[in-house]
Amino acid sequence: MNTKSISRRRFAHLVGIGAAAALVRPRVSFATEPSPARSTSSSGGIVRLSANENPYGPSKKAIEMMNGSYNLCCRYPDEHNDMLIDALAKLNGVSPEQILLGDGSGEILKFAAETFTGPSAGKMVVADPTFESIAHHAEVNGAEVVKVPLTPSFAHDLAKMGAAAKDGLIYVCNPNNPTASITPKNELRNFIANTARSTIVFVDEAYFHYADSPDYESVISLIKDHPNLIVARTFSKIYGMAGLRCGYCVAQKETIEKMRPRVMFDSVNCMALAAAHASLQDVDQVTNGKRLTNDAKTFTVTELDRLGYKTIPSQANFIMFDCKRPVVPLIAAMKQRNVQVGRLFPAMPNHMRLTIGKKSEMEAFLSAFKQTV
Amino acid sequence: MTSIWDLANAQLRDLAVYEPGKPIEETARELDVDPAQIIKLASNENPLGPSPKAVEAMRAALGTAQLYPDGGAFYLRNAIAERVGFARENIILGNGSNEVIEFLCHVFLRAGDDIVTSQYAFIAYKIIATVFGARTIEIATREFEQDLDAMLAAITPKTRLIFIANPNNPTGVISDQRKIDMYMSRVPENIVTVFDEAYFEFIDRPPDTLRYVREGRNVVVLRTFSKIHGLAGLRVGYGIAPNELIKVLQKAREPFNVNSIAQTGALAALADVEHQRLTKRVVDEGRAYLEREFTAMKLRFVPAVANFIMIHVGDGARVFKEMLARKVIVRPLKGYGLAEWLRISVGTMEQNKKCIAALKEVLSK
Repeated sequence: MNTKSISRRRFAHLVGIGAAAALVRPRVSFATEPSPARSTSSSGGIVRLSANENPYGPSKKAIEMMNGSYNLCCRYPDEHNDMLIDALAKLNGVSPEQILLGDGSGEILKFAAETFTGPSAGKMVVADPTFESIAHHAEVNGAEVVKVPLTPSFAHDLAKMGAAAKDGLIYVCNPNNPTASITPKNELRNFIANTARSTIVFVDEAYFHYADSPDYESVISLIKDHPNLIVARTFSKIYGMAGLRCGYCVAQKETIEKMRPRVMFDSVNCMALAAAHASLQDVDQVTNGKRLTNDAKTFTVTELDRLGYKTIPSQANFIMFDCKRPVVPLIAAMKQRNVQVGRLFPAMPNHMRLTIGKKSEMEAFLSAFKQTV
Repeated sequence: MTSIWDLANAQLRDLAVYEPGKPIEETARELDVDPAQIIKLASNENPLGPSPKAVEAMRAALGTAQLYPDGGAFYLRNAIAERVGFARENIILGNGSNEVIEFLCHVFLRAGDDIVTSQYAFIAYKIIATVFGARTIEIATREFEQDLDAMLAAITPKTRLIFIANPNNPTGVISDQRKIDMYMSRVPENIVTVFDEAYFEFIDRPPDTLRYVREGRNVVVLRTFSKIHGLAGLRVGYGIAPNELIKVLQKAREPFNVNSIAQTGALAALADVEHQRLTKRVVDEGRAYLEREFTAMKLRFVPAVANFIMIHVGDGARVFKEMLARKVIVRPLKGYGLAEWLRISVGTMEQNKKCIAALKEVLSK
């Protein structure tokens, strides 16, 4: 294991190079240089509250690490892949064999759908509404997809989902996208304990860091007792790395081994690996991100409430509120006013999903929203 | 007790695992030396590093890393299309060209289908086809040259895809225009042919396969930013094909498969013609040097056209290991059934010289 620590030291050495380089070179002003490959960022007057991105960006340590890593771009990222896996294993108290990295957690969803659902492998059971990606992958592979409506409190209806499943996979997005609601920890715990081992329970914890309800918990600690449990996380949200594409899942080793043949070698790029590794060492990234998001969220929810719009209690970096009219024309009208909001979720046609941006962006939203309605 | 392998798809049990080139850091640890002393000539990477223009563009793009990438990769696909003389609708991007191979297998292969490729072909085709339950028919080469006639003759009713790596990795042999034209005149309509041209930009007079894309044939041409552009770490490759074929492949693609920094870096690299020219020159000179040295050492090698050379050393595993002890990482080829051969990537002239010096020491023992 000594070899690993040397490896980390080398990686840390690279950060040193990055930091030193930053001192001697004029710093590039990131905020003022929009990427030519993106026409839809919250720049140029457009307020982007549509994709649940982190308006504060990646950790400064991640930026430094990336700036020190350009010389790695010509190399296949094999070793740094292993280093991030080691760091994530340590963070989650599991062994490295229990971690799978993906080109964003989207790729993890793809691996899981392909491995555990299909005409012979079994059905895909999802909530309605929920994040659609995994159901899409199941359909591509010819699996039957069963949609189970959320309960009146916007939790997953685990009893009905369990009853609908046969082998295959049950997808639980917690906190749920698009409703930002949670499924209570006791219910989920019991459900995992009582689900047949031939059915995979896949818990997507993309928004884990934003949830602070006493009724919420991560289920990573349950993995040791449940070979059919997979938990996914992402660097796209609190770590502000959506553009870089890095996600992962945790499961028992043998469950990971079933998915592993589908993993392309080197599916996570060197910049994402560098940034993810550095981000894990920056605790402020999480605490600051949560605090700023919560402040802007409280402000927005209060204002909407004052205007008579009810918001589903949110445990994420976005909210869903009842806009009291079809959301589709509203989305278009807001776009006219340079404010991008979340897409339609057909199960809730009169609700709007709204990303919590910076407070100034939320003010811009509220002003445009008032004018529109 | 039942093993988990009893539950998993049977074809996966004997599936070979891709073994990448040994990383520099790992080698440095094992030898307890500074990584800067290690010469890696094992993964056909660009010895000059990434295009400086790409680095500049990436630096500017880091500030928007929190935003999802442009899933349609509008600017990069346009730029590639313009470079190769097609429209954006003829281009699909992969998270490395490996991912485009995955799309192809995903879309066209069902359990029990066949793919046809050459003996010693790039191993990714077989690995990915196997994941989808397909069988790989490998056709013997003639002196390492892919036998396109025999590949055509091997087609079965279950054959969906034919993979022709041109030049092939690791052998380095290229099929010329005449052979490709002959092949294309005979390949049945219902089979998709994949020309993997990862090393295209290194070739002096590369055969033209894009004419078949232009004719609307079932042809996909694969290219990558991992080689001449020096961006292997960023993961971006692409396929060029008739629009209908691209539409089918898009179904298997994750919406945000190519990260935003890679899109920005690749776009700048594509325009950095100077870096491409310099890389090709360094590789041309390095390759000529290595071949001269191999000839002088009376080593058998396969005449190369790209940035790597396959040489016959007898006991490949031993030579690999002893080269490693001399801080030079090369690629053993036992996994390809070429245990007596090594593949050496062309490096900078300084690296090539050190490699030859180490090789002379090892082979004189």
